[in-house]
Amino acid sequence: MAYIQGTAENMFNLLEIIKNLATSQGWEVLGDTTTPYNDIPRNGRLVSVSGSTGALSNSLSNAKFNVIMQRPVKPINISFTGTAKVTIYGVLYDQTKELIAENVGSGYEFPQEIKEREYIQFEITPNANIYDFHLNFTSENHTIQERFISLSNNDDINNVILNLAVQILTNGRANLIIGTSTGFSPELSINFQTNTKLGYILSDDESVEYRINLNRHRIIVSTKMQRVSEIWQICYCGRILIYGGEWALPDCNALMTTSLENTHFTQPLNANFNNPFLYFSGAFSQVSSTALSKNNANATICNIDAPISGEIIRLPIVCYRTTSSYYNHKIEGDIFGEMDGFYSVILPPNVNRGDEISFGGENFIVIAKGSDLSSPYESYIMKKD
Amino acid sequence: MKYDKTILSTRFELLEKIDSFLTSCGWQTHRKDNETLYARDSKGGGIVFRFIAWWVSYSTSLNATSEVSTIRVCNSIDENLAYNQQQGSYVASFFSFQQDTNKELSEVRLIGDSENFTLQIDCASFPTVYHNSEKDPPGSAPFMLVFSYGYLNKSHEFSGGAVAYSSIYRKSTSIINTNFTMMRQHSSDVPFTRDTKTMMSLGGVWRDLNPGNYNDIDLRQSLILTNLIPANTTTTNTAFNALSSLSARGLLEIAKSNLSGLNTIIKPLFYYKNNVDKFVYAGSLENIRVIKEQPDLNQTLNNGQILYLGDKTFIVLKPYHTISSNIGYDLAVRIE
Repeated sequence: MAYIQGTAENMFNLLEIIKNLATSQGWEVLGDTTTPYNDIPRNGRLVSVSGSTGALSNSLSNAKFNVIMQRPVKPINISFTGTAKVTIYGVLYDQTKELIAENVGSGYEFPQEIKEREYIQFEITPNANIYDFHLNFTSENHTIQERFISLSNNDDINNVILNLAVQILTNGRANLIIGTSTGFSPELSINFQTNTKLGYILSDDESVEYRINLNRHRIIVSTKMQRVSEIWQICYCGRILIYGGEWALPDCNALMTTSLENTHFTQPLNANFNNPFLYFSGAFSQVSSTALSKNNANATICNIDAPISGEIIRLPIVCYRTTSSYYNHKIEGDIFGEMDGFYSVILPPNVNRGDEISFGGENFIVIAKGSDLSSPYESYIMKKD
Repeated sequence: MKYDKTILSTRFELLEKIDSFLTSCGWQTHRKDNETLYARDSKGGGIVFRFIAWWVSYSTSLNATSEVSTIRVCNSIDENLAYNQQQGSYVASFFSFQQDTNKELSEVRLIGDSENFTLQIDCASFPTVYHNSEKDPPGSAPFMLVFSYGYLNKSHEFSGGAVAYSSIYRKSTSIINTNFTMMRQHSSDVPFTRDTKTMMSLGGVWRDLNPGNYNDIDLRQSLILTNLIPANTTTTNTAFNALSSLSARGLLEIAKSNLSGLNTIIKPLFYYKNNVDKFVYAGSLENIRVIKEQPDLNQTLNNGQILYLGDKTFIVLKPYHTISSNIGYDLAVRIE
């Protein structure tokens, strides 16, 4: 088990830090692919395309298409298959649209003055069928558009595969994507791995503070963006402590995260710790948890406080579900287990986020307190070493 | 924990058995008279057992002025004081032995250590016999008494923290409170809620979730709460639970997990209200659990059944003698 904290320059840097932490804890790298940021991605993946994406792949197309790039780029040259000619308009950051190439063929190199300008959008019009269109470029400050790392905990009996990716997307997004899967497919992106469900840590291209705990079965990542103060995001991904042991629930991975969608970093955090996702019986399902969150705890129905002497109560986050509820209080359901090293807490006033506390000889760090996540009861601690 | 099970005939034998059992657990006992036993635990708190004869009455109900056998809990024991004058004395159990003084009870289980004591008097198999006139045979009624006393594993220092529970207790049958009955807990009543006799000592006084009034207490006024009280967020209701978000009742109700087949057992947690009207966590009862039965879903438990949780061993004690509506809530008491 390892705990680290610090500041990363950007999410790609954070991803590298997590990979190094994992390998130092005995995890094996199953895959590590970096897609450089020097060309429009095939099939228009990760960018925003209006019109047909055909020309960006292996389909013949003569349709006009418009590509919005993730970050401003300085074009170098173009190439494509076909004898057609293309006309290209470029849109600058200030939204000025200018003609940058007229009726040019594959291999055309932009003139020097165009090469020095930064464009965020290109409109390409071919005059006949083309395919496999490339526009090569450089981008200041951005050399990578995606990195996808897949890690295995190397445990034959209790195998956990953790997938992490960072992608730069349009709209300034540069989110960290985290998920587990039950296998690794090298040809597929993180979204298409087997039996996966993804959580997101939202970010921009700026630095982030992080606190991470990784053991052999799961990771907890919490981060704070530099530009948005006091909002910490949290993602728990991997095994829970299963009541009864692994045999009862194979591959029982949990995803409990503050964001379930790859949204812009200013969007409100949309996920609810009271309803995490759990993998069992072959699929991820949403279950209930005993976490104190804005959805289930307020001062009226959770009228509790720390005692004057300052003792902290630590409450396990137990995952369960009720499957059927008959007349006369007959109830069927499952109690799966609890989160590993991650607890709801009731904190006295003098204990804040970032403080270290201990229970029974084990050390914890407070990673969220009350108003960070909009409810006075949303306080969480995570195990340190 | 010491555990003993035996079969006894009379309440005098039972008093002797309790006396020697508690002494061997480290309690100080004093046999006040042949019907009364005082017992002081290692923390200075105490229990007073007073086992008197069934009061012969020519009807099936008891006269309001008669007295029955009682178990009282108190803050301290003074051998010179009477059984009902100990400091902080409060009646927990209120019940009656069989009328035949040579055969008043049958199976007895005792579990205890220097500060905890659980007693089960299992007369579940006794017939119901009414004694309405002198010509009738001795009166008899089946009953199952479970009495439990112990201390919370306190989360912080505060005055109090002893807990007592009884499955048979006194309850008013009318709102005017002059009539009462020996209330036997139903199988559908969950221990450590306001539906059962549950109390905790706080500041020298016993706070009771079921003082025995005709109406249930208003939980909004209660100074103690437990995690077994169901969630209720209706602020105008007397069952309103100010700690609804912390209620473990939802977990208790899932008696057995479908996928893993494991039984659910819940440890009782107590909370008390402080002087600024907020609840604080008092502590947990480490040696007691509550467990649910749903016989028509193939989830049945028997009195005396052993359950394992890692290296801990629990014995099931049912606080009622008949399960009704196919729902029962039992205690599981740690014996190892």
